[in-house]
Amino acid sequence: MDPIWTNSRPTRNHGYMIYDTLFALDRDGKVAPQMVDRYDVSPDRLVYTFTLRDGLLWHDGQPVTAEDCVASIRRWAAKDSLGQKLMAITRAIDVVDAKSFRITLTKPTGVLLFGLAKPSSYPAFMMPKRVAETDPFKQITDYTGSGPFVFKTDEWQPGVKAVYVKFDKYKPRDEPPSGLAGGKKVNVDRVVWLSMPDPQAQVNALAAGEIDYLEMPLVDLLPLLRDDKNVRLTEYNPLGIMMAFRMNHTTKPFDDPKIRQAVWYALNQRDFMAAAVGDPKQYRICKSMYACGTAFETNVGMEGKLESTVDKSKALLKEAGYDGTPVVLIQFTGLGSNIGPVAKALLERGGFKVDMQVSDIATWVARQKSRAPSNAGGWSAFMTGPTGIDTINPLVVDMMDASCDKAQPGWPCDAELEKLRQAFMDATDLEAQKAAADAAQKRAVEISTHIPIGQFHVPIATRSTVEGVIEAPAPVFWNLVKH
Amino acid sequence: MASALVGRLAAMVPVLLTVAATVFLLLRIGIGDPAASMAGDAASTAQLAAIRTQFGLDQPVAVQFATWLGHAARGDLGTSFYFRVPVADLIGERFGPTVSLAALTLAVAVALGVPLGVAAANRRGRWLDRTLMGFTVVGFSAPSFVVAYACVYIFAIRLGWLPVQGYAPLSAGLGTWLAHLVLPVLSLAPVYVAVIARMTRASVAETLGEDYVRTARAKGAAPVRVLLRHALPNAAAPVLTVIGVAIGLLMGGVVVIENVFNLPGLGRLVVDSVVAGDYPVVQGAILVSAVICLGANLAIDIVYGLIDPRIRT
Repeated sequence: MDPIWTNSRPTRNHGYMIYDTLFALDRDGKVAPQMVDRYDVSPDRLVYTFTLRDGLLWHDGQPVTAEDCVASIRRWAAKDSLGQKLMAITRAIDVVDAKSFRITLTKPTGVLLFGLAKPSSYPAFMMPKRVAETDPFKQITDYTGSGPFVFKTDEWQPGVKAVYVKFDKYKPRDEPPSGLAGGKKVNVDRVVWLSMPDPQAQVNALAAGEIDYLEMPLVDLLPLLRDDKNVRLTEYNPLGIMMAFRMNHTTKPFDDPKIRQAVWYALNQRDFMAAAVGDPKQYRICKSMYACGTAFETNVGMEGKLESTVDKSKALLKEAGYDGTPVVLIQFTGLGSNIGPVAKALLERGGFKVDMQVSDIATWVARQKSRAPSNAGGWSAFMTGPTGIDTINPLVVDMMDASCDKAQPGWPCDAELEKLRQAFMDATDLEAQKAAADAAQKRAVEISTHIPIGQFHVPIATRSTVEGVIEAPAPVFWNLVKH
Repeated sequence: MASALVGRLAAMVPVLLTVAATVFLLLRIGIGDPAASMAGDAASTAQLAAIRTQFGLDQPVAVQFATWLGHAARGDLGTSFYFRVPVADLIGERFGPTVSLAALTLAVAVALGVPLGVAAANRRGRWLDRTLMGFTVVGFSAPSFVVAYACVYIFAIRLGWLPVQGYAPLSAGLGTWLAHLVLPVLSLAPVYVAVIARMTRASVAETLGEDYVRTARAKGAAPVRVLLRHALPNAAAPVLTVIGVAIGLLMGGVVVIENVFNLPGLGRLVVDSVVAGDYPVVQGAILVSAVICLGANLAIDIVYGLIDPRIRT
């Protein structure tokens, strides 16, 4: 239940119920003030001074102070990768007065406000100082926030249900809601989240009117919901999920860049999406490392790739002297697992030998961190699906991190790509950022940090008596009305 | 009888130790490093090490086991890695749905299975016997999740008589509690009705051929009295054995039905915790399930003794 301790999506969503953020992304992905009333940036773009809105209160009735926010930023930055980068160029974070604080940088950047606004994977949720001073690697046990809902700890049943009630003293912004920004007006007294593991049971419960809101219906069951006149489907998050094929750069066969290049020609996105999603209305072909539909979407470097041109794949393998070392493809069981056989078939058609090893999801997660050779308990490749909002620029696409041992599992190591990502961070206008993002993608494709295999989105299903679902990268419950 | 009981209780200890050690080892062999999952991707090696130390995962497995066992012996099952709440509290919350489902299913199974078995035995080889045994084959063969979905569709969605999902505690009212359990019980019970009916039929049919039954008939006892007073009690032991096995299965093996009906029971807790790598919860829940199974079997043993003096020692 600590959105700084874990970046799991349910916990992030819980965070948006009870916490607030200094800034937030609006419907168009632009940064907008949220808890912040106004902010000033010095002419040299090194000093940012923030002033909080009047009337902000914690759930225990105490006022939100600048001290609370400074402590919260520090805790967030210890866990979040962009936060860590920002801290590396932060000279000081100072409290100015009860409602104001200042961040002083060592060099300008265009992503400070974005970092404080981004909704994944660790959003910068504000917590009272006494809570925010908890070691970021230990879970908090005090769930006092200043968000529009209060968490009812006495009704919490871990793994079963979480209950939230309206925070009567929450002061929403005056603007209409837009994405995660704007006025968070709560129109219901109480929200109960039920954990329901069986997708059919979820749909049945909605159809029978036992629940009002279903966050992520199984795509296969959408036809049942579409046919039900008492159910409404809302495409709340068009950025959805960006599926990716990740290779291990440190062990055979993908320690050879030419062999990694062959994979681009063996795979195609349509087959993955047809298997994983099925309904073409719910997916799109997206040959971009940045989520399609966002500012930096580009197909630079992807020309001619991801079309299953197997002759090209085989030719590259021959050129590289591929010795038939099997690709150890690790795959988890359960929902979404049918992409494993697709990858295996496509790679084999492209000239690879593949050893697909299937395990439960906990083992799969743990095995990703193994640095062992692929033939000794390690791995060569796996597929994963970060949310679209986590893939909107080169700094937040974790898989583009090419900082060798410090990078995500797969451990790409490329000084040039790191330089290009830094250039994005240093860029202070959109044009320069766009150029840096293009260059970073081009290089990431060259070294094959990962391969996008499609983008899909799933609607929220509600009873038709529920209105006001907001289009946002996370499911939120303000603005909802139940008739 | 008392010494036999003490002996039985003492025999439970090595069984529990074996269960505890097996689960403990399997978790450490089969699931990856939970510290890595808890730490997240941004954690440094030092932070990962700190988490391992915090949860005792840096200790040798034998030391971890001894520590956990020592605490468990004092009633402390530890704290969930993920929820940071006592494992005993988590298990306590999940106990109600599981016990309710198991008890009602068993009650229905016995209430239907025993009379059906007796009736079939009494008419063995005739149409009633064949019909009943035919039904038991269907009951035994139909997958419970298929029965469950059919029940949901008919009784909850089409007719709207009963809730689709969820659990209401007894404190919410007897009617509400029952309403949430009717469909899960209807889905689970056919298998147990079938097993108990078939076992009862076989056992009673065998008993009906015994000398004492013939003697009772020769003495002019009414057929119903022969069946219920002489044959059935002497045929009860195998049926009780099946009931004991059923208790064990129902306490931990109904996770599919718990999922289909969104019942937050022990089986679901174990599966969720295995997937999350939440060692203390898995260990605690399996240990508690094992204690319940052993307790149920002990109770069955005691009842054996009550109905058959020959096995009181």
